[in-house]
Amino acid sequence: MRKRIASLVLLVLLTSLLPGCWDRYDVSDLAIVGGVGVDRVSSGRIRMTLQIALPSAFYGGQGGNGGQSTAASWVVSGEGKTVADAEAALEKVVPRKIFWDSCGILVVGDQMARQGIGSVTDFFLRHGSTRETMLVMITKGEARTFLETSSVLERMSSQATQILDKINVGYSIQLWKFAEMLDSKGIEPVVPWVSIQKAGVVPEPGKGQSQVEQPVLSGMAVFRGDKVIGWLNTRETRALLWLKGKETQGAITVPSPDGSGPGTSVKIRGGSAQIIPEYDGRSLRFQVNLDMNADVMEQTKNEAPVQAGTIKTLDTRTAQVIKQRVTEVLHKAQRDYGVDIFGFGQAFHRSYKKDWREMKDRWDEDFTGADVNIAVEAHVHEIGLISQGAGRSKND
Amino acid sequence: MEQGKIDSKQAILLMMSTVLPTAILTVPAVTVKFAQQDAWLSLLVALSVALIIALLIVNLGLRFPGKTLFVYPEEILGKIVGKIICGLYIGYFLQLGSAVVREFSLFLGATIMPNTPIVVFTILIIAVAAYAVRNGLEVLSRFNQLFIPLSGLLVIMFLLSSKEMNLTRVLPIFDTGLVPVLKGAAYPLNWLGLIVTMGVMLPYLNKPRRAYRVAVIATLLNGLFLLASIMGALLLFGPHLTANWLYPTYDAVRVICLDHVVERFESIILVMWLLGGFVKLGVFYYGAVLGSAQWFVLEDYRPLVIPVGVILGALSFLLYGENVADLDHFFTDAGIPSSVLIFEIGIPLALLSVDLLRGKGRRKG
Repeated sequence: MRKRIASLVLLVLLTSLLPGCWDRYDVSDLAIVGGVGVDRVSSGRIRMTLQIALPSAFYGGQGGNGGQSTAASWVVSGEGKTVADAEAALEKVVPRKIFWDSCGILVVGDQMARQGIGSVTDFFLRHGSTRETMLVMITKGEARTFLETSSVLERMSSQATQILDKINVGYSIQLWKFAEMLDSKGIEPVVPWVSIQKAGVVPEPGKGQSQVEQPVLSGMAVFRGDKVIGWLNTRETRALLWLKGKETQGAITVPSPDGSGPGTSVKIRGGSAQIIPEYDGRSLRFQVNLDMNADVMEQTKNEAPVQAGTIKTLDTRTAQVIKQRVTEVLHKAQRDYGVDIFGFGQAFHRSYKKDWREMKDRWDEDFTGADVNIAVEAHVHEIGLISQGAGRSKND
Repeated sequence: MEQGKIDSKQAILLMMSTVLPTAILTVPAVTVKFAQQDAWLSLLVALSVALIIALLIVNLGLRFPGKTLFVYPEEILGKIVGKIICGLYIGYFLQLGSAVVREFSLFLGATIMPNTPIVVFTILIIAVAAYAVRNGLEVLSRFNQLFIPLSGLLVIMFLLSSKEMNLTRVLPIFDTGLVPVLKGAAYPLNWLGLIVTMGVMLPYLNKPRRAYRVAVIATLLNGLFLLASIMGALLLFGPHLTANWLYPTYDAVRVICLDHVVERFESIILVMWLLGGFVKLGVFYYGAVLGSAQWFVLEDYRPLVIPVGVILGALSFLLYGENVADLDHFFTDAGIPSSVLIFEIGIPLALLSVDLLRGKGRRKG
């Protein structure tokens, strides 16, 4: 009898598990966030903008007129005193549970970024439902406008920027790496600067053309602490990446030996960078050794053809261009902005830990006054599938 | 009382589960807070002290074959003082057990199930552990043996995140000086010193002669895993961010992201920690129950399982304040000196010295 009662009780208890998780959320109950933007509006309040995916746009229908015709996202904003406050305001407007897990980008408007984005990173790192791997970017103007733009090939602008990240055209930084740079002494963060540009047209039969706007990477925002103090354009960005020893894409053009014509285009693949500090108690010097790899992309007519003998000269000329570009960005950081965005301070800390203790709080000044000597070596590896351009031999 | 026997391998694995599950979560952040990038030096200091504790407790246990940490104090120091010490150890195990309950409840609440009341986790984990404890040491060890291969996953996670690791983040070595390194050592020592639990297990080893080997290997393995979790966090996040995370190891797994395809592994890690935390709770729970039974000189410890479980649940709410910050405070400020100095070194050392003087225990070569 006892056993029977016990098994009955067990059965009843077990049936309570049958409905499954009582606080489950189905996809149809979620508002899936693709990207989030944070702005400071004129009244000093904070506005959070969400780019929420509209699921209907993502079901099948790739062929023919897909993508274009259906709207893919809903962009909605909420305001509040703090970031969390703004999120709470959004929760009232969005009729579903806000699902943060797939949020891939965090865009901060420059109004907010100039006054400090520490509270933004705090909110998103503390949150727990957002990923630490989302990409941080700064935009001139409003983050809302950035998120309101759609993309042609991708359905949402947040997706498009993630793809830009994947193919490495610029530089991207995940939230946790940004937080690490914010927390560390001896390096100041740089964050991709994105903007919306007019990019081409979509010809539509019978209707003419429609202008297309596309999110693009425009360079980098330079920080001091958690505040944006300046900008680097794409040219300077690439030099900065070389100095950091990062992998890069994109070509530079090396002038021909006699200075006539555009010269040879080479693609810099990236390489290694070594920063060696030298300090004798008074004067601070840095020796920077760059070792870069490059491929030949295009030769113009008046160049000597690429052969075993001429590659050496191409190497030296490439190195010269790289050195000049790196010096440019270094001077900009030292003279215009006065912040160490390269991690010279960290290199110094590693070699002179005792001196660092007193220098770490005035590092910006010490860095600005430091003497930097840059030595570049470049190696051209691939020359492509042809040795001499078509039509050369006739002219020569 | 306890009829089961466990072999050396099971004992080593059980000692690993006693130390690692919560230690891997919290030790990196606190140690790094004190010793910055030299946290791994702190760990080596803690490890060497823990080895001494291991030798100490095994030496003591082997002098009184078949008797646990709750019985031999009486033989050494007489009935009254012995009973007091035994009572203190019961309290110690209750505190350790309730801390595990609290940590896991809060961790689950904070990370994956924010809408569920904390008390649900507390009741569930205690209920499951109660069942295991009731079935005895042997069952607990066998269960542990089943799941512990899962910790191999941690090694895979380590490899997956190695792409982002950078050796320069732990340089320069010995930047903070000696004092912070020693301060940082106290926290991991608190965990590694839990090898005193050997004092409870030792009589149930099927080959007590191997006890030294068991204790030393277990301590070294524990040290190795903790070292890996500290180094992993430091190489990924650097000292400042590591100290800022509450659970750096969890975040280290969360940031694994290879091409947006291989990512989001945290649930695997959570499963591992849950199973480990359950065994860990089981060990302390078992210690408290067995100790109480031996204190009252009962025939069987099983009637005590449920009452002790209720006490564990209650303590987990009473001792550690309301949130993670309070729990941290308990460990960093209040918990460490008391448990390391008194229970892990002080009392065993005192017992051994008195016994050496009075020569009650069996002499060992």
